[in-house]
Amino acid sequence: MTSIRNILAVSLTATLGLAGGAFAQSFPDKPITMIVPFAAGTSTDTVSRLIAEGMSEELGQTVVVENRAGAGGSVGTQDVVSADSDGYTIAMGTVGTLAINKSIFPELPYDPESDVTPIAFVGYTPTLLVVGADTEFETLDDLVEAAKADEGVTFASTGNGTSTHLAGELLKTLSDTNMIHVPFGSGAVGLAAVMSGEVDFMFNHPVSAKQNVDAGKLRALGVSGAAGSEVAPEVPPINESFEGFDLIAWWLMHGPADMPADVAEALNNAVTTAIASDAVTDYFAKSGISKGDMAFGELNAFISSEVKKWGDIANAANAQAD
Amino acid sequence: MELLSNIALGFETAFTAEALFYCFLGCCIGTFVGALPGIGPMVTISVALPLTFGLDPTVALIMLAGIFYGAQYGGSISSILLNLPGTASTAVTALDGYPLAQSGRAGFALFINAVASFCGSSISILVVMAFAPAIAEIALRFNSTEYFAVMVLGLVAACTIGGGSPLKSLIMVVFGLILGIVGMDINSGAMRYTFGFLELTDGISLISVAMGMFGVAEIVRKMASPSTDGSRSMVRDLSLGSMLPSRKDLSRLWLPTLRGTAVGSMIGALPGAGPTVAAFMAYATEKKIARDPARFGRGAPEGVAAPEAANNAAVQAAFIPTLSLGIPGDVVMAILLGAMIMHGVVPGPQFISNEPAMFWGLLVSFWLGNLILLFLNLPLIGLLVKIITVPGRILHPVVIFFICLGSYSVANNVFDVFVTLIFGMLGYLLMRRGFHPAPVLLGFILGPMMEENLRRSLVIARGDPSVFLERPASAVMLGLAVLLILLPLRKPVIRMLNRKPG
Repeated sequence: MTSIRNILAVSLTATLGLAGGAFAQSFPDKPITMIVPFAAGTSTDTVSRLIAEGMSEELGQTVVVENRAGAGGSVGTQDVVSADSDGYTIAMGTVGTLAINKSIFPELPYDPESDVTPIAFVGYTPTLLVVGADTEFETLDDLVEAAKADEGVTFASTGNGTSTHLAGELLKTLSDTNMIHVPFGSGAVGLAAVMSGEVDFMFNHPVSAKQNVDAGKLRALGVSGAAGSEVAPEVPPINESFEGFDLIAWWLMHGPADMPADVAEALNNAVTTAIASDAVTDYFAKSGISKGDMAFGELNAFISSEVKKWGDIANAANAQAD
Repeated sequence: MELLSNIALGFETAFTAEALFYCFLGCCIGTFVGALPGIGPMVTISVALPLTFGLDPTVALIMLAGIFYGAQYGGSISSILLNLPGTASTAVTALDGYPLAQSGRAGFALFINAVASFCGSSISILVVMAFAPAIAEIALRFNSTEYFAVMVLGLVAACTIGGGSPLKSLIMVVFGLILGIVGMDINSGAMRYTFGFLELTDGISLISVAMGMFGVAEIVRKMASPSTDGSRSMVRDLSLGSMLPSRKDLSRLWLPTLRGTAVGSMIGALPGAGPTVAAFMAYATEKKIARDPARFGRGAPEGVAAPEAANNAAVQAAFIPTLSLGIPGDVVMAILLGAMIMHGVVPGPQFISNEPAMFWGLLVSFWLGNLILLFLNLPLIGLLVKIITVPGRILHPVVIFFICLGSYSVANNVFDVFVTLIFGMLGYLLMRRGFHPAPVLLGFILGPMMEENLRRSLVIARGDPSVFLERPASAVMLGLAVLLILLPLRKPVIRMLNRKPG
């Protein structure tokens, strides 16, 4: 996300915005359903609802959020992929549904590279590598040093084959140490285990980790994104110690394949407006989420590159749900 | 003194007309959806969440939380009157509440339910007010080892919960444990018994099992044998006198209520246990220490008071890890946490000091809400009891409709509706053979938690099983579980030993 690309993206989306605005008068003549493939109350749900609010205002038609959770988001995503591509059924895709799942679920009924029409890049966030405040790990080096022993160190995740699991696996591969995966069904319970020192470390979204870091219950040793984190600028990117460590969680709005280009652009315009709204700006700032800054035309390539990146990590870690 | 000034601050926040109105509204909606089988607080809160965007965050949360604890009151109403748990956490209440109602004491059972629920909640709220941060710290020390031990103890203590033949109960517990295996194995990521259905990746839906085996099965049973419908006898006497417990009842019920509250407050404060587990544990405790355990399952008032006090206490205590650590204990709490974040408030260790008006306002509003619920429920008892007299040809289709709606709404998936109906048929067949569905639910809920924590403990201990005995709390609980298994064997063994010399 270089600054030149930022400027390009902003100006591009602005032009698209104008074009879409003219079209938007005819396209949505009935409510739009936005499928959120995760449960209510999750961060993806929160992001989706805020975006849906902004889109409704811009489009003059209600964007109805429908949670359809299951199988790491695959159930809801499959529903959208097999829906009519008229733009009235769209989904909030994530790094999980559009990238990781492809290498984790061998029987995934859809292919994120060919079965979706990307609409807009909504936002992204790096995760924080946190340890309990009572542990002896003051820096990432301490942790890696401890992981060299036979006993190794343990890391919590939100489940097998999730981004938090694969981030840990990547660190293990790059540092060539002994890091033992401890999957938790819920990220919150995993974070509690890190706080109590039961598990050594975890990659966690800044929003739930930051306050506990500030309160001295957790220590943040690294940021998963090479660009660092906006809410925790003092924490060094892991990339500085282990080159090639650049992982972000992201949200990308999409529809089924073969959506008419003008419809996709009209929706892209609405999402862009929604992202600029005060409510979204406010929420993103608080949660450490950066606004999506990618041109409409780059989205397909982005999905492909992410599929490959996470696929490589998953293969190296031999993580697969079969 | 600081506590008093904090409570005063809470009253200031919670006693505004707006806050009171939304508290009342939340409690009413909660009672209503709680009483409808299948539609629980989770679905309602996710639907109501976007509607609260325009409100002040504190007021919005007061209302959403009202739906949550209001649903516990409502859920037991349908458990007692119709043997259809409105929410999974009130399934235990049906064990004795329904027999009470069938013996013509529906009003009495509802009265106990309301009062025990109120006691459980109020005491638990006081505990939250006084000790929230301290309890959160203690709960954190609870590692997977201890979780595993609690689950084992709970399972052993409650496995004969259904009444009737212990062997049949045990078979049903094991059946529940097997059902709990379905889905993606969290450790290896392997699919277990999903038969290629993506919908089963996260396991069978709890609502489907509970509503199928209790709700659908019960309706089918009633339709199959309309003559056994005891509705005529149930509405004989609706005077206030018939509802009020006698002095003897009161002296017999206050201790179970307090014990239920204690169990509920403890279990509720643990992130990852929840009100359903609390209710099962409280019921099992009462049955274990009762002089005459045979009364349970046939309309023992303690069997209503203890689990109701426990699940309501647990619901309030569940706010401890959510508000003071930002760690939600269950799905409903996760949604409430999400609601707070959407309103720009991030719960965590600094929440209490950063937002004192909101924290104390919320707690005081919980208490007011429970008071509202008590006074909402008591006068309604007379009206509610009449539900039983609604002819089956009207009531049954309506209930089935709501069960289907509820199963669908969990994940907005038709698949779950069919799963519910399959479990309904299965539940009916089992019921006819004298197998009670409650132990299935116990195994189904505890099994996966037990497995998860067992394997997690072993991974963290690098495969060394002695960790369960090295940690004192876990050793004590596992020891208790072993005792519970051995105690019933005591008499036969002594008899055998005595016989030998002779």
